[in-house]
Amino acid sequence: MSRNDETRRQGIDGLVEALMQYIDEANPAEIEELASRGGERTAVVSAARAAVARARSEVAQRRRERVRERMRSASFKPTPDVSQLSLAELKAILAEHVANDDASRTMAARHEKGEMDEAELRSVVADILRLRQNQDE
Amino acid sequence: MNIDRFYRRIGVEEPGHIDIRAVAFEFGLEVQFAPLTSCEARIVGDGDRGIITIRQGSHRLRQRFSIAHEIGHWVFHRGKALVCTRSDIGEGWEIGRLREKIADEFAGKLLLPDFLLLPRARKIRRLTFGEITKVATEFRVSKSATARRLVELDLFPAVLVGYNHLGRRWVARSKIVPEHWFPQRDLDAESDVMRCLFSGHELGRPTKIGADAFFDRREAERFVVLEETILVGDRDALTLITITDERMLDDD
Repeated sequence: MSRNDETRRQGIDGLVEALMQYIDEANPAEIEELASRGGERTAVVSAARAAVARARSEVAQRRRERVRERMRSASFKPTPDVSQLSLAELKAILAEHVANDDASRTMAARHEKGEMDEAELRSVVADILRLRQNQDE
Repeated sequence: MNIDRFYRRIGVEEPGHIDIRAVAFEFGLEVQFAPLTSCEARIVGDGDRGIITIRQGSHRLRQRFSIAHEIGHWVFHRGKALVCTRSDIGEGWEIGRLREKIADEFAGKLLLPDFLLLPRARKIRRLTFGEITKVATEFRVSKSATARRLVELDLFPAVLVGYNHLGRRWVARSKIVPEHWFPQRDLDAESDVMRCLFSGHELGRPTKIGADAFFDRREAERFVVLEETILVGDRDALTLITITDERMLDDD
């Protein structure tokens, strides 16, 4: 996507937001006044609302597509091989990662905790090392 | 964090647009599935990137909730280690439980955001599991999580109680209901929840019952409430108690 396209999209987004906000928050008397200049009130307002809703929907769809596109093009590092690490090495890496330090840049959490077996310990450590590779980039 | 604004930024307009893996991605999180044995889900983070791992083969709705729950940890607990092993008693049970509660609440709001939930909730005249199921299906969230969110919107005079065979496990309540109406721990023999838990069959509709079946207060016997119970999971029940007598809503 060119920079111009992106700028245009941001402009449209901004315009749609402003229009939506205006119509939602405008003083009814003000709308009445505008409508009297442009035609019958209900028809004008509903036509404006429909146009804005359409525009907003199109913008939202483009935003969802952009997220999907970013997801598709994201490249994550491959999972490192941890099969050669000893149990002691695995535990040391995990202990370093989960050290209870509120200023730490690392974090880990588990939902519904039980005792980890060795395979799970290896997979956690693989995740930790993969993230470290990302940080080293 | 403003969830509604976040969703507008990524173009979410309807419940069907909530792609929880895409949401995780926007937070810098990759989601993977693996045969976890010790837990339902986990998250490991370093800097601004993280990896969420979800137990393979779990129910799809549970997986969605687990991803949202782990995102909650990422948003609120980054820089705080939450992995506990038997040798690591860490920060103690209460703090751990509070963090889990925060992540759960966040997950509920992420999967059932106010800007999509409120317009639907306002159309509901009386909260029942029929209505809850409709919302749960549309948002692809469990009935328990949906019921909890709807009750905590404070639109309905209702209290939601999670039970097992031993009695009350947790309570979610609308602020409309005064705090002195707090469900007792024990199961009442007359209640539908007792029948439901021990027979394994749901009645499928709300029934009238004396308020003293749920509330251990002297004046409870003067009032009638609506009880509706469904079974959730293998051995739990969820009971929705709806206050129908406005005198119960008086603060004193």
